[in-house]
Parts: sequence; C-alpha cells; structure tokens
Amino acid sequence: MLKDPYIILALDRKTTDEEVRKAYLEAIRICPPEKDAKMFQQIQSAYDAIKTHRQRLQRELFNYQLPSPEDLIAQAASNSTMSPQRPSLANFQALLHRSTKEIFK
Amino acid sequence: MARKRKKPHKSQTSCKNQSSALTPEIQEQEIQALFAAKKYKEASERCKNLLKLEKRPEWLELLATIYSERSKELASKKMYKEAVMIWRNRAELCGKQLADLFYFRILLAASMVEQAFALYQQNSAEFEQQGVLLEVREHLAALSLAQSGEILKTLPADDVLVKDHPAALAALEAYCDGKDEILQDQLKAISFRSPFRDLRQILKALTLPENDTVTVAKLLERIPSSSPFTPLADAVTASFKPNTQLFANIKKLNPPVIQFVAKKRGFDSKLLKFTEELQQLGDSPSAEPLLRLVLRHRQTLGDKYARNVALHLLAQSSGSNSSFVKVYGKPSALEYAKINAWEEEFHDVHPFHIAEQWEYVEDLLTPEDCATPEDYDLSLALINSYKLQQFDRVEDEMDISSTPLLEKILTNDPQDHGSYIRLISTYREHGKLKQARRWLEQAMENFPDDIAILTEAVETALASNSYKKAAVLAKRILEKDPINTRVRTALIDAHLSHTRKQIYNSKYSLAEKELDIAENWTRTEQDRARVDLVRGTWLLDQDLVQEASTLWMTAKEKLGGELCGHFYLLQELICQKRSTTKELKKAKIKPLPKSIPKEQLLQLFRLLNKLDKNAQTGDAAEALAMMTQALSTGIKHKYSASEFELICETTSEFKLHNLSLSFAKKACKQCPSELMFQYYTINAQTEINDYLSNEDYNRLHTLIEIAHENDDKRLRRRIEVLMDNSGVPPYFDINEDSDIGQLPDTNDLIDMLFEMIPDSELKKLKKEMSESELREYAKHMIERDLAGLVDDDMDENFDPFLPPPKKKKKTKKESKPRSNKQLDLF
Repeated sequence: MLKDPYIILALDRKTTDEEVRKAYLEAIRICPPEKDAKMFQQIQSAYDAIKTHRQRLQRELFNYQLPSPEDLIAQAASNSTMSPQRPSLANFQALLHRSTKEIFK
Repeated sequence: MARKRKKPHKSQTSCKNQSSALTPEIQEQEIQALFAAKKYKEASERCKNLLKLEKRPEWLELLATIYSERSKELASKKMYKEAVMIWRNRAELCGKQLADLFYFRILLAASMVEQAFALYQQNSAEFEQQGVLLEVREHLAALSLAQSGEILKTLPADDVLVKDHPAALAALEAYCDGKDEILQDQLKAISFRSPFRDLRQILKALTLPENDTVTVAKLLERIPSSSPFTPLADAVTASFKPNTQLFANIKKLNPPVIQFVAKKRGFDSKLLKFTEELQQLGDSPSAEPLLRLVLRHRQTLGDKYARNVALHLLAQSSGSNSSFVKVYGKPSALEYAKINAWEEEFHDVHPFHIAEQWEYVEDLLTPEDCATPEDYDLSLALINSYKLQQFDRVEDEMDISSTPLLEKILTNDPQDHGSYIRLISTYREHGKLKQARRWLEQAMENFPDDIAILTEAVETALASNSYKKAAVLAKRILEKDPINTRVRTALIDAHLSHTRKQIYNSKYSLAEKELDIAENWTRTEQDRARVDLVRGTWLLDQDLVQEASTLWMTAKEKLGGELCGHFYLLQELICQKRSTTKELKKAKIKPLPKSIPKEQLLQLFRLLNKLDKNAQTGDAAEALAMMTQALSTGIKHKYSASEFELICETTSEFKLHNLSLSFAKKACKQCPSELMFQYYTINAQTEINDYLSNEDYNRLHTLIEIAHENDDKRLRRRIEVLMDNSGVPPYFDINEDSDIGQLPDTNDLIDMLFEMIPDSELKKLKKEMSESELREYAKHMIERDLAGLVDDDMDENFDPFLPPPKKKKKTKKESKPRSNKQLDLF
C-alpha cells in the first residue's frame, strides 16, 4: 500500500500549497470514489497530510514511519531515465506462455 | 529378461477376499460410499474388480465417473501427467470419448503440446458438438504465438488457425516495431470469428493514447476470463493505470506483467532489479536488509531520498550502522539527534523522553539547516509544539507550566491559532489576567474576526469583571453565530456572579435587575433553572419563603431531578457562602432520601464527568462532599464495568477517595479481569494514606507489566503518573526499634549479584580471583554502596518515622543529562 503522500499525489518534495491542491484535484479526477474508494481515501489522506507548508515541515521533522515497499518502487520509477517503449515480441510471448501454464489457475 | 511380477498390496488382497464374499449389490453400495468420500483410487480398484464379475453398463458408467473425478483431483494438485493417464484409462476401460475440453486443457498444462494439436486435429467435430471448438482453437492460437508457428504445420492448410496465424503474427510484430499502418491492415484480416480475435482487441487497445483508459477498458472487457489472452489483457490494463494505482498493487503483479508494464511505461532495468530484490525481502521487510538494499540502490531511488530513508531506517535498525557510514559518512549532530528522537518514538517510550530528544534537536538546529529564515522559526515553533503534545499525554493541558513553552511557540510562529487559545485560557484559568489580556491583544491583531478568539475575549472580560465589554464582544459573536451556547452561558454566568455580589451587599433592586438581564440571555430550560436558583435566594432574603421554595423545587426538576437538582442547589448556596442547612430548612426543602436509585446516581456522575475541570476543587466539590453519605448508599446496586469506571473516575477526580475506594473494591470483585479497578483501588488507598505502601508499589509493578503485555497504554501511563507522584517506597522497613530496619542478608545479595552477571563474564572473573576473594570483593562493594545510601538519606529533613516523601513532579524544564547514546551509535 502506498503511504507517502508525495508519491500518492505525484509531487516533488519541494512543493507549494497551490501545487499540492492542483495535484490533489488531478488525482481525484483520475480516481474518483466510485472508481476506487480505497485509493480515493488514500488520496484524501495524502492531501490532508501535506496541504500546508506547516504540515509539510511537520512531516519532514516528525514522521518516523518508513516508506512502504510500494512507495520505494514508485520513487524509483519516478527516477527512471528510460523513455516509454513498445513491449517486445518476447514480452508478449512470455505472457501468452504463462497463460498456457496457468490454464487451471 | 522376465519382469518380476509385482506382489499385490496387502490391503488390496484382503479387500479382494473380503469383497468377493459380498454380494455385487453390497459391493456397489460400498463403491458408491468410497466415491462419495472422495476415495477415488480405492473406489476405482473395487469397481474394476466388480466389473470382472460382470460388465454391467451402470458399473462401467460408475467407473468412468470415478476416473473423471480422480483426474480432476490430480489436475487440481498440479499432477497433470497423472491426470492425463487416468483420463486415458477412462476412455480405454469405460469406452468413453477421449476428446473433451478438460482433457485438452490438462494436455496443455502438462506441456504435451503435440498431443493437444493432434487431439484437436482428430476431434474437431466432437469439440464442435460439445460447443467448445472456439475455446480449443483460441488456446492453440495463443500457443502458436507464444511458441513458434512451426507447430501449425501438422494442421491442414485450410484450418482457420493456419489461415489466420500469419496475419495475427504480422500484426503483433508490426505493433512491436511501431509500424502502425501495417498493424491496422493486418488487424483487418483477423475476423471476429477468428481464434485470434482477442489479440485484435488487445492490439487495438495498445495503440490508444495513455489517458484514454475508458476506451481501453471497453475494448478489453469483451475478452472473457476463460480466454488464453486474458493474462495479456490484464497486463495491458495495468500498463494504462495511473502511477498511484499501479504502484499500490505492483507487488501483486507477476514478473512477465511487470516486465511488460515496465517496457511500456519506460521503467529501466535498474528499477526492475530493485523491484525484484525488494520483493524477495517479503511484505514487511525488516530494517537491516532494507537499509542495505536502499544503500545499494541509492542511485535508482535518488541519492537525497535514499539518504533520508536510510536515516529513518537507522532509527529502527538494531544492527551495525557501518554500511551507512561507508556510503554517506557519519551523519551530522543534528541528524544523530533526529535519529534518536525517531527511535524513541518508534519504541513508544515515555513522552518525557521523546520531548527530551526533541529538545536536543531544537538545540542543534540552526538557520543554515533550513531553507529560509521563516522555516527556521517555524521549525522551532513546531518542535516546541510537539514537545508540548508529549507533555499533554501525561499532564493536564491547562497546567500553568505549559505557558512558557506556549509563549515560545507564539514568538516563533505568531500564526498559531490553537496556541493563542490555549495560552489565553490557561492564563485566565490561573487568574493571570494581565498576561491573558496581553496575548489576547496579539491574537486579535492576527485573527480580528475569529469567533474562537472573540469567545476568549468575552471570557477574559468576564473574568476581569468587565461585563459591558463582554456584552459588546458577545453581541459581535452572536451576530455571526446566533447559536453560540458557550458565549451565552458565559454571559449568563457573568450576570449571575454579579447578582450574587449584589445580594451579598444587600443591594436587592440591583440584584433583581441583573437577574432579569441574565434571564434575557437564556434560551434553554436548564439555563432558566440556573437563574431561578439564584432568584430563589433573592426571594428568601425578601422573606418570600413559599415563592422561593416553589421556584427551587421546579428548578431542581428542570436540572435533572432529585439528586442532580439537589447538587446544583447546594452548589449555589455554597457559592453565595450561605449556610446550606439553614437555608434548606427555611425553604422547607427535604433532605436527600436514604436510598438513591441507581439511575439518579449514574445521572449525577455523568453530569459531574462533563463539568469543567476547575469545578473539582471549587463549590461543586464541596457540594458533592456534603452528599457523600447519600452517594455511598448507591454501592448496593449492581453496575456494569463501564458504569463502575465512570463512578471510580469521577469520585477520584472530585477527591472523594473513600467513596472511590469502596466502589473500586466492589468493581474488583465483580470484574477481576479489569486491571483498571485495581489501579483505582491503589490510587484511592494512596490518596487516603498520603503515601504508596510497599505492597501497593509491588502490585503496581505487576500491573504495569501486564498493561505493557496487553498494550494498554492508558493504564500504563496512569500507573506511571501515580508512581511518579507518590514517591518510591523505602528500601528498608523503618520501625521504632532500629534506625535501619532489617538489612537483607549480604550473602543473599552477593548471590543475586552473581546471578545477574552473564556466565561467560563470571568465568572470566573467577579465573582472576578465587570464589572467596570474589565474594569478599562483592561484599565490600555492597557495604560501600549501602553506606552511601544511608548517608544520602540522612539530610536535615530526613525523618525515618514518616512515610516516604512524595517525589517532586517532573517539570518541563527538567531534563536528564544528555545520553551517550548519540556518541555510541556509530
């Protein structure tokens, strides 16, 4: 589960109140409650945690919780330098092969 | 070479012997029973034996059913080759058709691809008859793309798989190579009846823009869950998900899906390696391996982020921290302090220790550590605010000792609304009106129209007897918030206070005027009743006894009936410094009955529980003390644990310790598993005795351990406060016969000391000196320490005949000397 509000709202650590609000509105537009209620709740909590400069500073100082594995993967993905590509024939074949292997799943 | 004939199994032979003695009908029944019990292997053996007697069609049918279920059972255990064998036996022995969708699927699962193709080729008609031909073809279509098209060479040229395969493969290759025009042409060649039709939907979806998730979902929803293309469709769906949704579920995805999504989204190989290694650490990785992983992949994570995570991991890691130092060097003094603070938080130590660690952070923080000078000030304010939150966990929020910290917070952060409210009300509650007004002025400058601040202004004006000013401010509030009960109540209270003063000075006409103003502000029956109580005393002073009596009786009813009403009346009389007995007698108010009903008693305790904390030391406490006798009759009723808790808590708060003790003891008997009542018993006993006995001290120790095991933080904190405030019991029992009571035997102490030393250390010591020398040395050390202990106690205030002194409450300014932990960390 994602825990880091910056990751959830796809924000840089150095951000402004306005940017946080914008990111929040965009996130709930992409993921409204009727689409994924759990994710919507997470977005809401993330916004509540960092919406003001005071809260962000507070979090920087006192948050002692570790990021979740999903947070770490998302953070690493945000630093990925590769540009998007089309999957290769081998990628397709691996998935089709798996479907035969998992025919009884 | 002739094979040795396999000996039949013992159970099989005995079974055969037994069964041959039974009639075929009974045997059939037994086989049915074995089948129902899912003992397929034994059932098939018995059925085969039965068939040796006679080839009855119904027995053949039974054997076929048993084989079918056995084969399915093996497939569910992933024993596909064995499942294939059983299915073949079924066809051979029972004359059943081999061609079946289930058989086709187990052939594929067992990687018997050639046999699967052969089955299709030879049994197309049967599959069509069963209505599963399309599904069979789809599986072979997916397989022909997953492996190579060579496999199709066994099929006739006019087979739909052979005909459509080139277009499907060309479309797939065109997509992978980015040749969208060719892709579109090839897709047109795949008809909606083709076994490759699901691939067509997938490729169409993949060419859509990444934000067109609605169309993607529509295209993919046409693919049924039984389709062999479903895993591919799922990967495509995942690749279109927004980052938040994708990463929230990434650990559930299998490697080929992650590879597919990574390529499409542009996640590099380093990320894939990191994800793979992270997944190997499990769902909740422990700090040490995670620290090593983060340091190893610091470039993938971003150096600054990785360092920050690593610092947090240090706070939770119990192992060596050299790996961090190797990569980043030693953390700064400020970072050390933060790590220690986070560590204390993580281990949920006493709030004072957490506050202390943040004090070190505050000391070390410089403007250079912050982005702007404003951030530096705000950081200091936040740290002090956080320290205060820690103190609040164990202390009364309105404690006057919180004011220096609140002032410090507001100096650094003049926009902290909550701290203004708290500081002003604390000063006011403690009678420091000058300071309250000073901070109020600053608060009103920063928040001129804020209702909470204006309410504080009203209450501060009332506390300063500035009724006119309070009324003006109150009207300002009520214009914005007409149902602000707090302000209304404050105004009524103020006018009633004024009335009491006028009555006391025998200025009855002025008192009557004040009463009328107070009544004008009332909106509820309860507020009117409170005014009536005061008006009753005014009437009594005018010798209008009957009127006063009637007014009081009605007011009592409105204020909650016999018990609650009586409490309010007593409180009013005490407030006016009148003799309660004399006035009640004069107004012919009956004393409380000897037996109080349970509901009335609970109603009063609920009311008391909601009263202002300051009431506990004021008139309310005095009124309640007058009712103790009547309240104590309530012990005969039966209460639930939560009702007992309400009574014990309230009696304890109002310092009715004897009453609290009685109820707590009864609660202990009734609910022995509720540790809270043991705490209430000891607390009340300690308050009555004015010291904590050794026995109770030991009981508290046991209780705190159990509370710790049960993770009962509330009870733990309360015991800690009781132990802190009640002093430590004397180590020795001091009695009249000796200055120092019974000293424990020195030899026993030495034995205890040796038990505390680890075996390896003790062995080392024994190598250096003999046991007798060692005991002599330990004796010397113990005697020296005991002498020191006695000397320390022999100060001028020490009186061995008094109970141990109460330990001074730890103040917020106190702090223990800086630990060496920070230095020892690395």
